[in-house]
Amino acid sequence: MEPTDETLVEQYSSGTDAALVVLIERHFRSIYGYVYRFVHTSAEAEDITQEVFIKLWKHIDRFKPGTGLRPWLFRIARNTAIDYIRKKKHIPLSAFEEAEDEHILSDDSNALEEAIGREDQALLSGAVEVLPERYREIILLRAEGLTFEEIGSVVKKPLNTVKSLYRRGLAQLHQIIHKKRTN
Amino acid sequence: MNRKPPFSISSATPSEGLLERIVHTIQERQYRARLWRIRVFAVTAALSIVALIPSSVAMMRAFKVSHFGTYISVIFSDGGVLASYWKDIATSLIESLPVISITVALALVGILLWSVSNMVRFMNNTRFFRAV
Repeated sequence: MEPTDETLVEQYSSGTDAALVVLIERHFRSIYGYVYRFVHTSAEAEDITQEVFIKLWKHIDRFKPGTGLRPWLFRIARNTAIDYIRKKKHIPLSAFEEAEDEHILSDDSNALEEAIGREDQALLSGAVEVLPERYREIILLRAEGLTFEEIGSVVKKPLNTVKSLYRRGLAQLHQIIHKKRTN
Repeated sequence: MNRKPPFSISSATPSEGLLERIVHTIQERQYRARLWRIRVFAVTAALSIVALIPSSVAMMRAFKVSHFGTYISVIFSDGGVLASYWKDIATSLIESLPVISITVALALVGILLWSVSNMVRFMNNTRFFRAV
C-alpha cells in the first residue's frame, strides 16, 4: 500500500530525503497542469512549478497533519502563480479577487457532472479554457479531486460561494460544449 | 455533493526532466544550507576554544587568590580539625569558590560541545538523495 502524503511528510521530517522526492513525483504533474492554466506557456509554468516545490521544501515543517497536503500545495501554487503574473504583467491583486455576490442555485449539479463526465476530453479541455476565470479555477480544482472545503481554503472563499461558483461553472461549461457541438 | 466528480480534465504535460530539475534544485539548496550551518558551528567552536584559554587562566588565577587550595589542604591534613570544624570548613570552601570564572569556563565548554555535536550531525546529513 502506498504511503499517504502525511506519512511521507513525517518520514522526510525524520530525515528520509527520498520521501520528499516521492511527494514531488506524486504531485508535480497536477500542479504543473493547474499553473499552466494561469500562464499558458510551458517555460513559465515549469518555473512556477519548481518554485512551488521549493516553497514546499522550505516550509514543510509548517504543514499541519490532518489538513491535507494537496489543498496546501494548490494554495501555494495559486499564490505563486498570481504573484508571478502580477509582477510580470503589473496586474493589481484586485483583478484576481471576485465580488462575493453569488447566490446559491438549485442543486442540479449531479446531472451536469454526469453529462460532462461523458464528454470527449479534447472538447472538455477546450471548453474549460473558455470559461471565465472564477469558474474555471473551481472546476479544475474539483477535477483534481479536492472537496469544496479544500477548494475554499485554496481560493480563500466561503464554502457556499465555492459551491455556487461550481454550479454556475458547470452550467456554463455545459452550454459552451453544446455550442461547440452544434457549430 | 462532495463525492469525487465523474470527470477529469486533461491538462498540459510538463517537459521531460522537470521532476529531475526540481529535485536537483532542492538538493543544491539543501546542500548549501547544511554547509552554511556546518561553517557557522565550526566558527562558534573555534571562538569558544579561543575564549577558553584566557577564561581558564583567569579561573586558575581566581582559585589561587581565593585560598580555595588552603581550605582543601586542611581537609587532608588534620582529621581532628576536620571533624570538629567541618561546617565552617565547608562554608569557607563554598564561599571561596570563584563562581563567576567557573561559570564562564563551563559555559564556554558547553558552547564548544554543542557546536561540535551540531557540526557532526550536519556533516553526517550532508548527502545527496537520488530521484526515485
